[in-house]
Amino acid sequence: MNEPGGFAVSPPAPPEEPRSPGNPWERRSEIGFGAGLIEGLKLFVTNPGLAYEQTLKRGDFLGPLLFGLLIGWFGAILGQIWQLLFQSSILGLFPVDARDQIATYFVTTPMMLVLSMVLTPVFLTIGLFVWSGIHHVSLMLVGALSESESGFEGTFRVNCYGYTAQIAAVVPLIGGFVAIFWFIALQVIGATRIHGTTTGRALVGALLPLGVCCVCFGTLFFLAWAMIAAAFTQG
Amino acid sequence: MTARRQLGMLWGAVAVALVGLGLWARELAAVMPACPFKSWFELPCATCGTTRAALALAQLDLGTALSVNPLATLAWVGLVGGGIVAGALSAFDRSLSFPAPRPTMSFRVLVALAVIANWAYLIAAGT
Repeated sequence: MNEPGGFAVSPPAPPEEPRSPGNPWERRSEIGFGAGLIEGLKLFVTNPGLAYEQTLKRGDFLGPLLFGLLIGWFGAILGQIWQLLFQSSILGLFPVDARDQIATYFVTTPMMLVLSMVLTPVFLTIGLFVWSGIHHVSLMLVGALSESESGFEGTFRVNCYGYTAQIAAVVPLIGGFVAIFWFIALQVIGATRIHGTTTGRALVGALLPLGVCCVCFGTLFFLAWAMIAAAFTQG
Repeated sequence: MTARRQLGMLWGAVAVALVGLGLWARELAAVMPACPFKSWFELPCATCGTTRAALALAQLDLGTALSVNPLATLAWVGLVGGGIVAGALSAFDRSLSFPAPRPTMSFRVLVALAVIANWAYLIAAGT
């Protein structure tokens, strides 16, 4: 439309939604690497909803991967150290005739610890990528991605930042199991914020791979609960 | 580097790492615990045979891999083959283009049926 003076008048632009500058880790170039890591970790632990809301929906893969690797590596090594220190106590909770079988799941040697320190980043990268793919297909199947703007990248970000749960490994013995449930909770919170889906769909999307693909997890959970129950019974 | 190129690089690196780990596949598989579901219920779980399929693929034995777990074999081939293509494209600064279909109900049913049929095969074959 032209005004009498000949100036073009464009319709008023709709108010733009303020874009998040990113979570603290994504602002590490401004606040520093260490502060970004610590502040990011603190936010994902204390207020994961806000942390995922601040998280950029897309932009890069390497930043979230680095966060996941740093936290995951720390958790994995700490878990192995606890296992090395407490494995005889853990095995002592089981009946004598079952210990050999259980030992295949729990026993760690110093050599395995050194090996895992070197190989853990490789396995974590493979694990994060593959698990994000499985999680993404699962979310797709339950219709959780219909409003998503970020696609696979969003799911990858959910899982990388979900590795915050690995710090549960600071708790000896049960830290690893706590981390599994915490990770699932973070996956649900992350999927609702990043993909804009409902909590129900996000929950089913997180549990489906465990239920369908990895029935083994169910059995391992049962083993864990049996162990904890045995500890309380004996104590 | 764009996110798409990073994805291609990452996928390629994962594929190369998997091929590299294939050299130690037997040693790595030896430290994997037996499937607890199979040990307890004497039935294969839906992912039983995935490690053996990977071992067979590491020796380029596609027939054996398909016989121990067809769906896992297809997934391994897609992951490694797709990763090598994606990594190579990204290395030459070519952008990846992914089909992103909206999952229709028929697509979801098809995937669910594939998983169930694969599991039924594993049980029938005693994998």
